[in-house]
Formats: sequence, structure tokens, C-alpha cells
Amino acid sequence: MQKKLQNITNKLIPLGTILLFIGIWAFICAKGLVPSFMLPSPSDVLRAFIGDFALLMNHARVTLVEAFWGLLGGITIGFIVSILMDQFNFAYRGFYPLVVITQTIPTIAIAPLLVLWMGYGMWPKVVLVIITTFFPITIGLLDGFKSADPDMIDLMRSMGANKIQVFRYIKLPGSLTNFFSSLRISVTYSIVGAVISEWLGGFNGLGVYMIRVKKSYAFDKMFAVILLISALSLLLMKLVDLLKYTTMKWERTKK
Amino acid sequence: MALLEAKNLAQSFEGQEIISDVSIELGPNEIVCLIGTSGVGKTTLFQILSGLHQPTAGHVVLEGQDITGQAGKISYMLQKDMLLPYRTIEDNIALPLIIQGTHKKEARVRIQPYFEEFGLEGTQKKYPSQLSGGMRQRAALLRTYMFSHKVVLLDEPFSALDALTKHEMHTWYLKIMEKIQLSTLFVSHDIDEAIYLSNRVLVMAGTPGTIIKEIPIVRTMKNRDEFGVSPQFLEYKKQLLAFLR
Repeated sequence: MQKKLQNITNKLIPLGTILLFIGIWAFICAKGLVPSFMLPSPSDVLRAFIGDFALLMNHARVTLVEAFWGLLGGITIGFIVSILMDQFNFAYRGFYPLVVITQTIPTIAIAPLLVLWMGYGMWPKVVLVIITTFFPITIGLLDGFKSADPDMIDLMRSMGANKIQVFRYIKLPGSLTNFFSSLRISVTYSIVGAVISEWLGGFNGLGVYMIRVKKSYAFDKMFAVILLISALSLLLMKLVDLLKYTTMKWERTKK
Repeated sequence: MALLEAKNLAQSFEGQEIISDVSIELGPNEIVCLIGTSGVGKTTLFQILSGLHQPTAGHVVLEGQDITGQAGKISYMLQKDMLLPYRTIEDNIALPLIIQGTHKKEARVRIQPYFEEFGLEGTQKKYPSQLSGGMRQRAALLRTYMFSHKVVLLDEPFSALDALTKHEMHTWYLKIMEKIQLSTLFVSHDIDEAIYLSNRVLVMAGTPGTIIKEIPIVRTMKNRDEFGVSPQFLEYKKQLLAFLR
């Protein structure tokens, strides 16, 4: 009972903070402390969101498709690279600096280049999402593989297990927690990555919508799309949590 | 004839000898304890016996067959139960069979009869985190047994358990060994445990480590708990302590 009560309080605190924040925001707008063309009120944003709903959903679909393929590519590459780096020392030495360097390249700088190389379609966006998402996956998985208990590996080997079996029964399941933590980061990166690449060239997508409303100084629509992007990211993170919950059944048995 | 024989085993790493001239014989149904200070090479010896490392000299013979350096013949169990947290107890126990190429479904069927014998009924679908320390250790032992039916190597198998559970496990282990006809070679830091359980105690010491003394344990009384508090028991303990000093 007490625990349940505490649970409710735990949920009320962040909710209250958000409501308070929106309240202050609405108050500032209502009092006219900031001109309304610079800071639209919460109700303006809501109205813009409802008014442009169909259009927003259309753009969101495009962005989500790009993010999906990019994320899928990022996960695939992450798996391949981390497995190679774990199994072969030369791959570890060879890939490590390369993997790190890809993360030092500013996304903003590479996106227009990708557009020049691959056109205004979906692919430059997908590639950019791959570049931003594969890194957390690779590092997370690699860390998981490397942290496998050496005694456990010895035990498996004493049972006659080969390298593939050690990987399948020890390393892979042992790195699932890491994988899901990385995936949680990567899904948010995938949305942001897709939006940024849409800014820099494209016909559809939330990024394109953003540029358009910014150019027409429609700040209420700008806020509406920001809200939508946040909501999408949150939703995807929840989805990852759900996936983790269904995949890692044994975690549920722990108190 | 000895079931498991280690003949003049030696191992060195980077020019430094860790163990030298270690010979051990283990007969059917026998419990032999290997006792010695830390760093004397007991783990190295077990790694050689289980085929994880190739010795620099000597042979390991199982039932007359030379198995030196071959993994997959004898398994060992550690102080940590090493159950995989993400597999159910039944899938943990089936693992050695699966590794040897048995289909998962068939492996599950083949292990079922042993659950009762090992006092693990009803734990099949549970995860290791839901079991007590003693139960987990039993499950780990059953997994080791599924792998090699004749000889098990145990590296400080009961040292992580509390005193009461440990005593319970000792009694249980002696019973189960008799029932399933198992021979055991185990490492212990606990002199009492060594004398209580074993037919013979081997003392390992020196650099490089070697077996300096073999003490057969003779129990004149039937009840082991009585033996555990007898002057005889203390005499053995005194002897062993002298060698370990």
C-alpha cells in the first residue's frame, strides 16, 4: 500500500513539474511579457498542432521511415563491427580509431555532402542516421561482449564449446542489457539525425516542415513540430523498454 | 584400475614453473581432496585436467584413454555456481548436452529424471535468481554431471555457502555420490571439509607446486557427524596443518 502510494507520488512529481512549467509559460504569454510572435502561448501551439495535424503526420511518416531504415542499418553495422572487433584483435585495432573518428565529424557538415552525393531522396538521410546510430550500438555491444566472465567462458570451453557456441550462449545474451541501453540512445539519435538531414535538403519530412515554418516566422507551428519530435522520441524509447521487457524475461524475476 | 590418472604433470608460463611432477590417481566412487595454499597451482592443475590448457609435460588419462589437452572430456565446477542468469534452470542444465550437439527439446527430456534425484523438482522453469544458494549449487552440480557422468572436478564447490547450508550440502553430496556412482576430485581451503568428505587428502605445496603428502582418511565410526568431533578427526587436522605451515 505504502509502496503503491509512493509510486503515485513518484509519478506526480515529474508531472507536476511539467504542468508548472507550462503554467509559467502560459502566464508569461497571457501577461504579454514577451510579444506573442516571439513566444506563442501553449494554446496557440496546440491550435497550430491540431490545425496542421494531417500535414504533420504526413511529414512524420517520412521522417519515421528514414529513421527506421537508418536505425536498422545502424544496428546491423553495429552488430557486424562489434562482433568482428570482439573476435579478431586486428579488427579491434583497425576499427577502433575509425569508429571514433566517425563520431567527431559534425553531422551538420556531412549532411549537405551526402545530399550532393546521393540526391534529395531518402538515402542521404538514411546514411546520416546510420552514421549517428551505429556508434552507441557498436560500443555498447562490444563492451557487453568483452565483459563476459572469463570463468564462464572457461567452463563452456571445458564442456567442449567452440567459439561460436561461446558467443551464442554467453556473450550475446550477456550483452543484451547493454544493447537495449544503446538502442534507447540510438532511437532518439535516429529521429534527430533524420530531422537534421532533412533541413539540409529534401522535399518531405519534419525537418523540411521545420525549415518552412521557420522561414515564414510561424513560431507556433515551430513549437508544435518540436513537441511532436519530442513525443515521437519518447514513444520510441518506451517501445524499446517494452521490447526489453518482453525479451529479457529473467529480469522480471528479480526483486 | 584408476578412473582418472594424472601422470607427472608440469606446467610453466613464460619460463616460470607453476606446477611440476604432479601425479594423481582417482578411483571409482572415490572422493579425493586437494588442499594447499593459494597460488600453489591448484587452478592450473584443474585447467589441465579439464583440457583447457596443454601441460608442458605429462599426461591425463581417463579410463585408459589419453585425453591430455582435450577439452570436452571432463568438466569442472567452480565456487561460483556459474549458472547463466538468462536461462531457466532446465536450460542451464541442458546446456552441456546442447553444446555436444543434442537438440534442445531432446536435451530437456533427457535431463528430467535427474531433477528428483538432485532435489530440484519444480525448479525447471525457474531462473537462477529465484533459487537459494544451496539449490543453485545443486543445479550447477547437476549440469556438471550431465556433462561427465563419471568424474567431476570441483574447485572450492561449497566455500561460498554459509556454515549450515554447507553442512547440509556435504550430507547431500555424499548421498548423491553414492547413488549416481560418481568420483570426485575437489579443491578446498577448508581443512575440516577435506577431512569430513574425502577418502584421501592430497597436500599441494612449494614453488613450483607439487603434491608433497597423501593422507588416507580412515573413519572407524559409521556416523560422519560423530567422526567430525572425534579425536581421530583432530589428529588428521593436526597433521594437515603441520604440512600447510
